[in-house]
Amino acid sequence: MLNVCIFANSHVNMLKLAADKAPPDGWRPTFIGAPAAGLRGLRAKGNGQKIVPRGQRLREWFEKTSGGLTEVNLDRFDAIVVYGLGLRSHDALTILAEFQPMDLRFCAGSRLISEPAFGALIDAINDQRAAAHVLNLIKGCGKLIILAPAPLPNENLLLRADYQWIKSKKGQAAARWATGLCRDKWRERASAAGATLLLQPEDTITDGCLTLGEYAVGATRLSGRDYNADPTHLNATFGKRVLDDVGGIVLGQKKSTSSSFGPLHRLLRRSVGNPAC
Amino acid sequence: MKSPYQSLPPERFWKTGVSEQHPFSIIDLYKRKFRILPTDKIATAGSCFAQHIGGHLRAAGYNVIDAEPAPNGITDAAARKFGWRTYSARYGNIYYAQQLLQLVEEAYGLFTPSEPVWEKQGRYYDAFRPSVEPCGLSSPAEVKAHREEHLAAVREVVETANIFVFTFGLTEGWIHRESGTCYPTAPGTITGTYDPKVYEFKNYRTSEIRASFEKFRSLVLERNVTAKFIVTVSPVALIATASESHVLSATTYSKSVLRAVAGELAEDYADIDYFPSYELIATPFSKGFFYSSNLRTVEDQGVRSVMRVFFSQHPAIKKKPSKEKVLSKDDIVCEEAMLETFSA
Repeated sequence: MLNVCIFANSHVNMLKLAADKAPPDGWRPTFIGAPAAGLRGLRAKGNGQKIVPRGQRLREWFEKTSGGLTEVNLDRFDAIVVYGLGLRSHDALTILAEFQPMDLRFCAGSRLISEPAFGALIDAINDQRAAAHVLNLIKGCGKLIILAPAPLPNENLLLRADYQWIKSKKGQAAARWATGLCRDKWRERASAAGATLLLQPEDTITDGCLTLGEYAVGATRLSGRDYNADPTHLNATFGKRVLDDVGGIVLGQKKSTSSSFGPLHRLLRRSVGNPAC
Repeated sequence: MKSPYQSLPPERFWKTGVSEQHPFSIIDLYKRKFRILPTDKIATAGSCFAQHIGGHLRAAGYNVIDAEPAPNGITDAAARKFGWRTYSARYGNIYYAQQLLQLVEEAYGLFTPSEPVWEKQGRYYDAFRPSVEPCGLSSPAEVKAHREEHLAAVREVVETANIFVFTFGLTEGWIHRESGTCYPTAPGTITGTYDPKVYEFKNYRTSEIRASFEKFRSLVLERNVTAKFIVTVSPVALIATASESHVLSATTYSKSVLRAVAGELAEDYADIDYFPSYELIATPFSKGFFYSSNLRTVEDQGVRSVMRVFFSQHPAIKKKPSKEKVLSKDDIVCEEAMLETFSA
């Protein structure tokens, strides 16, 4: 039986519920979770193989989600998963509502942004996320590391007045492009940390930028409270899909996942890449 | 027998005004000509050194205009890499007065620049602010679209600023031979290609710089009667000269010319004040103490000393300065520094 440590934020609940319902075959997960950016409070101890929480609140979350652990000894695990922890395409969509590349402009009143600047923005945001912090703590641990970004926002996002633009043809093209750019950035980040990138299964995605609404039904987050029209969190059915993919990689049945990009994104990517940059 | 020097205050004498003073505590070096009100909107522009001023003013609670704000969530370092949070709009460094005038003229349709787009390895750059998009843009049309948006922001700055702080940096520049269009960098430095038939070196003279700034002032006042101006001279030496002189002589010439123009402007116009950042850093008074080992870059404590003198006359609005990080010397974006790569 392989042991896998999963660091996650509020998405940890859907993973935990899925694991409780159907324990993974051949491997056992240990969850370490805290809401939002809480895991930025983790610290390495000793020779770096032990991860400990700093601060009372994080300590409580740490123990609660892990089943009583007060520290993680990385030596005891065969693989480490970094799930969500702020790596999410939602930020890119938020930026896109105000700043748009010229070729993808869907709103005349928006401000222009170049594709390199947009990419730098995503990098800068990701740098501040808990995922970057945890990757930094574990990157030299010598274990298999899996980086799994947060799921794409679900279709409930379209219920919000400030995201109606995604419904338009141009808006959707822009959202697909931004999502593809985020994937590129996650791939670069995974590569830099020596991690395997685990992307969301393609068949759970609609319009190239959103998670199918069916996975939002009964969505759950770390506080345990469900609320209507949550555009961020997903249910245990989706959690099982994630665990299946993690198991596939950990057990060597699956190398890694990749995701296709829409033709528009590929076209745009070709126009970038000044070697001087 | 009376002497006109007899009743002068201590700061008018070198011994009491300079020799017996310390750069960290000098008093009466600067006396403001007008107040900056807490409600005043301040615009900043100029050469690299000017980047410090906006950051310190903002940290002190002054209302510094940001007509092209960066997207939320971006760090300062990432923002500055793309020209955000550097000046009141994303115009990059404006090293000399002709550049400043040209920008405002262009913003109001009074001037159409030549060769506005420069190309490098299939990417396209705004020739007047190549550093704000360090990777360039995908087409000349995209450069044009971005520039139009930028010029709208420049108009906003011109029409809303109550105080315009400008730091004169250089006298040397590069212009388009036929039209006189001026550029912040020599073609071929960051981008573009140097063709001596198209571009030429220009070392602006005192009268030209003064005329450019006076015209700039008039254009601003025509659109914004409330505007006042604070001019400074950058103490940062030329990193290279395209003149026939040694770079030390070229620097001395440039800074002397700029200091003379700034002084004349302040003497002749009630709405122009001169702030002596140059004196504090670059004269024998500070014995080179504020320069890095390259005798060019101003150390952070030099900038702090300059701002201390500024705030002695324009007190910080916030009692406790904001925790917002002010720029350090390593944060400064300076295209001119690229010239060093051409050094043997």
